[in-house]
Amino acid sequence: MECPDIDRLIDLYHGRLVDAELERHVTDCPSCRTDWKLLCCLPLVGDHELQVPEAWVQGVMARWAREEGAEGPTRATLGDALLAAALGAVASGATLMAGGSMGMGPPALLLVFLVAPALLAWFVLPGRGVRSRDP
Amino acid sequence: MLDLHGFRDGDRSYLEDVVRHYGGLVRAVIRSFADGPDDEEDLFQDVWLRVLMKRESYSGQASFEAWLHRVAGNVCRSRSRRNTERAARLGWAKQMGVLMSFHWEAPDPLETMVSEEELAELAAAVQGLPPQEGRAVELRFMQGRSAREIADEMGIKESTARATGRSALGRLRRWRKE
Repeated sequence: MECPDIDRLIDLYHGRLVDAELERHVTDCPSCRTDWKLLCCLPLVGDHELQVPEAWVQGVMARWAREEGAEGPTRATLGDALLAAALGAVASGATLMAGGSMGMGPPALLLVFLVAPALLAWFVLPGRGVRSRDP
Repeated sequence: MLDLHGFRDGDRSYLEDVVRHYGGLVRAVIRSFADGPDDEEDLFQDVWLRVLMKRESYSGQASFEAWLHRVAGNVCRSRSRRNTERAARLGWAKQMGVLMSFHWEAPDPLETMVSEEELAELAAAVQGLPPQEGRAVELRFMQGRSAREIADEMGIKESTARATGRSALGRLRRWRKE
């Protein structure tokens, strides 16, 4: 492949042109690599003192905090676990007492003992167990 | 000078200082890719987000400026390429070509470590260009303007704007031969 016109190289540099063959050529051709290097380095020899508004910096940090929170692991805190355990114990006790007074046998009581607290926790604690990491 | 441990540890106040300190370099790279001030701010955030999320991949062997420059260029180019691909509505066969090239890694101009001294030499070479060529280089290669925009701004023909840019680049090529 012949070396491309500089305009095509500029378009490739700016992502305005997607051309696999040209990309391979630029990777392999010393002359084009020199031009590529020029394209990459020229912006750096312009304004050395480009100022960045403080709002941009704060914008970056706020977005980073959000993204990091979104990517962080979802895990229950110790407080969440203790609260769920306490509610489960109270609910279990209540269902056992209620079941006993209604004359339920051991299998039915066991079923109620296992299922009722889980259902209660599911309804009472929507969204718990996920640590909120919003800034 | 970047404190590698501070950077990797992710201390918020330190990273904030890093963004502030190196923000100008990122701006210099992204401004020719941005479509207006709002877009430039979005791109600025995209670049820094990538830098902060991938900060552990910076080994500290190359200079931080070189690494940052590379990340910024890649983020900008990736976004432009996505837009180009979307806009082009390519046929399936061509799409396959695009997909094959999607992971292309542009040659890294700074993998051989362009030093401050070399950049200063390049700056001097740009300064030494004839005024019209110098202006064309600034508009074309630093600000990313099209040949037509340059022609309008400089009051010359579009073909002249292209030729001027080409001529300037020819002189600048002597700055550094691989």
